[in-house]
Amino acid sequence: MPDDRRHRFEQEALIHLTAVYNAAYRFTRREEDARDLTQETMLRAYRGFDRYTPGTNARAWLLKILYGEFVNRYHAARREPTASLDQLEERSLEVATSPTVQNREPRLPSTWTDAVIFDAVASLPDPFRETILLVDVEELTYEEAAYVMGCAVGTVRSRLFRARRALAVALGSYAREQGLLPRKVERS
Amino acid sequence: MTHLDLQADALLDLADGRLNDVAAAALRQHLDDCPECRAALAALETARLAAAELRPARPVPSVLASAIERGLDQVDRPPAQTDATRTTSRLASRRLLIWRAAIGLAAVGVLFLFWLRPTSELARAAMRESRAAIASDYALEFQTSDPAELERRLNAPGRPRVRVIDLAMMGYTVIGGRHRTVAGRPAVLYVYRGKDGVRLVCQMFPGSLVEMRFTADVRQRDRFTFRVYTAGDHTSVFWQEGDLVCVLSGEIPKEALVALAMAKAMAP
Repeated sequence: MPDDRRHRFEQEALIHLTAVYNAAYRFTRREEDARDLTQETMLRAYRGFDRYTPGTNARAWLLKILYGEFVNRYHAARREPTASLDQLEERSLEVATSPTVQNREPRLPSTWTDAVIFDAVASLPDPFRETILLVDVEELTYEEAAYVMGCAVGTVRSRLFRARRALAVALGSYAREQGLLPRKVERS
Repeated sequence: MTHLDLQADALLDLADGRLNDVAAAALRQHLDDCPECRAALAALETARLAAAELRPARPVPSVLASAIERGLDQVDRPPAQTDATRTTSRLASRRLLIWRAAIGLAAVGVLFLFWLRPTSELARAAMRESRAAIASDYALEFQTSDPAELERRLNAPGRPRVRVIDLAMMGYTVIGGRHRTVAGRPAVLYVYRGKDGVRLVCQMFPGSLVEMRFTADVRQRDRFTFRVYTAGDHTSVFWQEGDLVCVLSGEIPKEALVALAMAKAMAP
């Protein structure tokens, strides 16, 4: 019965619309793209709703569909990161030892607005950015993030470790540009 | 593999507070002598805090909710003319062609009437909720007969801010309410009970009357437009209050329900 199926879909899946839309927005950072991506995700989910096991993790299931759609649409079009992973890791030690991030109980400078943090996250290579968004922003477990991205749990942990350090680098660079950290002395 | 690679899992777990006390104490002892790990831990904690700043949710645009609803309708809609198109090549006689054309026209007519049916999908979803809430075994999350108390409990963060109008003067007492989702939108729902046990259901959710398709029964009173939908003995009256669509539903005579809806909408 279509009505029954529709009702079950509304109860199980559509209640996560806000979560899906917000994840889409964080992935794309464009209102229009987020709307489009969310709509496609929900329609795909509805078409494939028979493959969903009721009572299981509907939010992770929807985010997996969203992630697949996002990768298909945007990965190819996305610009290459400005810094290589090795470069980012090389700089992470230097930034992390700065006074701002070495505090035992770290606090964020008030100048690190959402926009600044968003920009820093966006500057990361795709696998880093997406892992940060899924684990630290969407608050998925490692297992859920691995399911969404279709990789091993160990890969999620490894990416998260590197991603967070790279994010600290990106934020540190911003802090340095704003005069919140001492500028790096260029070696001749 | 570097020293930091070997410590990566432990540092990550320490940063997230997932390391047990013994392991955490051992790692902290190591940190005292290892600037590289100390720096990495600080970076992990800083980044985690920064990312958490991005968590606050944006509201779903109502245009998106209605677009999804229309999309779901299209998926639900069965292909009406599949047989006709599949067998066209097999038609051998002119007489059959005429029959096919007539059936095709009828199908188009049915689709046209379907589109014009006096209940939009948004209305249908709201009416489905109200029918359930009229059933006596419907669970109300907040049970109180005090409108002010119910209003306070319904107005939770992330939910539309609503007023609970006291209809006691008209013979209906509020009995409780709950948070719901109507067509994917955060909604609040509350129930009145009349002296004869009849239930009326009020719902509010973000949206616009413009999203609703045709109904011939539209009333105007002061600055309010009321759209009336009827299915069997169930009537729902929809009107707009700011960014919210309000609905009053019940299984009482239509004109009585419309009068109650108007009283609610125009209450000071």
